[in-house]
Amino acid sequence: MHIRLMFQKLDTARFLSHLEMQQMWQRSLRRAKVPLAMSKGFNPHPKISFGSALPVGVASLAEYLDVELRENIELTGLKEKINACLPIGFKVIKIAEIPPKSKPLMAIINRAEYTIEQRVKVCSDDIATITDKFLGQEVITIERETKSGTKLKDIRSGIFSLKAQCAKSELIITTLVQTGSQGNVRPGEVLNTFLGFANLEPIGPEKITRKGLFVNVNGKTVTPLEVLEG
Amino acid sequence: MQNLKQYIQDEILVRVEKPARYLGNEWNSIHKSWDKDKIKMAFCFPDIYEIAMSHLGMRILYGLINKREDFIMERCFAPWVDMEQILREKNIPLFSLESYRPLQDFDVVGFTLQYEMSYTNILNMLNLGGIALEREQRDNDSPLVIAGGPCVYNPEPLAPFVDCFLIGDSEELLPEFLEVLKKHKMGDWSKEKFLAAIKTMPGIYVPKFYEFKWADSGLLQEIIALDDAPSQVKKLIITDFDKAYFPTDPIIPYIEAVHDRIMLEVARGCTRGCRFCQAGIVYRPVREKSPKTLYEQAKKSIENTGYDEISLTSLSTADYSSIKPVIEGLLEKHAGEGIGVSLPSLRVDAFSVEIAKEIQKVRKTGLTFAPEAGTQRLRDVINKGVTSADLEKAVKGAFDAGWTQIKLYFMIGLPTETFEDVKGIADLAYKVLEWGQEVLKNNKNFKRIKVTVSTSSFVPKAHTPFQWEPQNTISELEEKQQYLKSLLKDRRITYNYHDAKTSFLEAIISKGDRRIGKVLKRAWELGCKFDSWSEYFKYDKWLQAFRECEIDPEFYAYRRRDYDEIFPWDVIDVGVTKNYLKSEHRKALQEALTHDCRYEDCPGCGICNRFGVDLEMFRGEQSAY
Repeated sequence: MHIRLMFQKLDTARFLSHLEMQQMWQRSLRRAKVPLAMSKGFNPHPKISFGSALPVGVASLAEYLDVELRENIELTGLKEKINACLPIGFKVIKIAEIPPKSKPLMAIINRAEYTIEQRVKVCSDDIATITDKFLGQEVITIERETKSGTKLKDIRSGIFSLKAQCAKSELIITTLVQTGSQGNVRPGEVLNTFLGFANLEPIGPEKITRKGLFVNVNGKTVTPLEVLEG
Repeated sequence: MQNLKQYIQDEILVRVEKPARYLGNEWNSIHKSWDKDKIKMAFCFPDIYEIAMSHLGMRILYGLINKREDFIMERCFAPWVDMEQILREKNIPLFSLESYRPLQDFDVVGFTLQYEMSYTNILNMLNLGGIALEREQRDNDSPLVIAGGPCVYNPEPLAPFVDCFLIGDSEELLPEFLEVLKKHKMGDWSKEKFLAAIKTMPGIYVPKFYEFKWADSGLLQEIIALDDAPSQVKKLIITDFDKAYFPTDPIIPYIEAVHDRIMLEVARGCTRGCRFCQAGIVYRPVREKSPKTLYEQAKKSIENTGYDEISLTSLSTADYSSIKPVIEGLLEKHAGEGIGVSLPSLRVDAFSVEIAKEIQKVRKTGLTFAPEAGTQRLRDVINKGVTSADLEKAVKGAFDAGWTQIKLYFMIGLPTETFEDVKGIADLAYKVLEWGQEVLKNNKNFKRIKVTVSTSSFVPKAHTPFQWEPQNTISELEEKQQYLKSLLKDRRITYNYHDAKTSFLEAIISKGDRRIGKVLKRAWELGCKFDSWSEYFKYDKWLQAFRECEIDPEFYAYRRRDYDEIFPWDVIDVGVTKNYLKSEHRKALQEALTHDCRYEDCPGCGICNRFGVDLEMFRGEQSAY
């Protein structure tokens, strides 16, 4: 049996790296006595796979993981059972059975929506106009550190929508960007280029929340749970 | 403290590496309300989270103390350098992980002394926590600074900083200590009176009641116990180890710890009697847990942790009387849930390989053997009862079972060692290759063999038969390392060795006295911390500290001691007599072996008759499932 979980990663849970969170899930699911299927071979490990990795410090309202089970179990009450075994900040919202041959989350998820909160020294007067101009650019170039050095990359085509408001020195950006194997726009990159473009001076660290992960198929954007309903 | 917590989480954690080190709300962590009449203790581990969270002693004490409603124990670890910098910049005191309270708010700040090279971190943590370093500088309301763990058997280098040391098994000592503290705290609190009251408690060493007199030669002349303090402090031993508290719901670290698994302690103590080994002396006598207890503790631990691996820990797990049935029993019960069993170390013999094969059915682990010395002569000197034939059987057995990677641990700089003995290490490594090729060829296995040779440098330790021995000089050790490296040129062999300068300092501190305390403080002032992390080890600063304190480091590390010399650590009675250690030292020089008292009669180390204890073993008790 295969199941897909949608969960939140809020509060202090946002400080766990992807690797740390993977460990956490294995142990929590075992504590909840979920019968995990194990891989074969010398170093067996549970068959759990995740969607898109979150940067450390970023919270999320909608993350996903797929779990393969070694036997069929009753889904009623499973959510509560797992939630009772999760550390602070993690919470399962929904669980659904998925067909055994479902495409992995990593392969289907290609959109992510973020809210970015950033204190700034002074707000710009006309943030709406600036936003329009920002999106009106043909190219938005960022620098990205790679193994072979710093590379320049255009992220404009990966930003599908962006709204910004600024009041009382608090800038809030909501943006839908590309994620996954076809290309990945990081929320920090959007924030930094926007701050630079709008000439806003940040104070203190930003606070980023992923609002959702989506699958865009044939122009329709749906969640990884909705995609199951075909 | 809610504000500090919020501030750190909102403003600071995004700026540091691995912020999950500082969250404090892991699964099974315990958060208690800070009521006035509770005794609050911070358990401090002077290294980073990943190392601290691997420590079994903390798991035991955290569970045990927090079971008591009137006690609170919280954790505090050395912040990594990036976090420390921010704490210092923003003037935030070092805080406990559970309640984010500054160290100075606790009644007791207790450090575990796991290795000497963490001592500067202790000073750094006290300073970051807003606590004066020297005990004489602290007032009546400052926390009591206490220490326990394996290094307390020579407490003296830390005597200027620590109010009292807990010597022995802390699961009995610490609750008793806190109990007495609670009574004193309920009345008019006087630290003076409290320390005076506990100085006669078994297992408690209060350094302020001991005066050390040195001759002009620099040798210790006399240890004077003041105000009716006992002339020697006896370590405290728990008997009926099988019934002792053991935590089955340890905190599950967010970040992968060095030992991130269920640690099931099968026994305490070891009677093999390797002459370099301090743990082998100070943890005597051997006490085992019954298989029945182990099965119960394993089952509960699996349920409460979600770990998929049980490590059967002790100083020498293959010596545990019922090791085979216990491994079989655990696997029979839990292998179906994907739970594996592992051992921290193997003996060099065929039996250990049998055990390893048993374990390997679930999970492949690397195979490591520790012959410790390269020639039979030197192995006899250190009383490592291993022969070349044992190693041959073990290694061939391992290759035959399908392992192709073997790690070998040795020590260089052991007493009486010659270059012939060092060459013996290389000879053994090549033999292992040869044995492996032979077995693999017969089995038509075409994998490539890999042998890793690791050497650490011998550090003579207090309370061991080698406490009278000098350490090899840094240049001698480095010469031996280079010689061995030149002999191990085969590309199937990898050679690793420890930094000799670090071993030199370890030797000084582990046989140090109060005067070394001054050097520790000066070294810390000069910026020394994380000395066991090679990238932070500042050897030149240490030498500067010795110069400025006018203390000759070689006096401590390189001097051969006389049999009648008084040692600073003689103030601690570990049970094994100095006379026994002397006779063991003499036997070492004669290359004579001493057998293991669990298999043959008593060689008379002194622990059992002097402390009224006995070996506790469960020989022959089979799987109770």
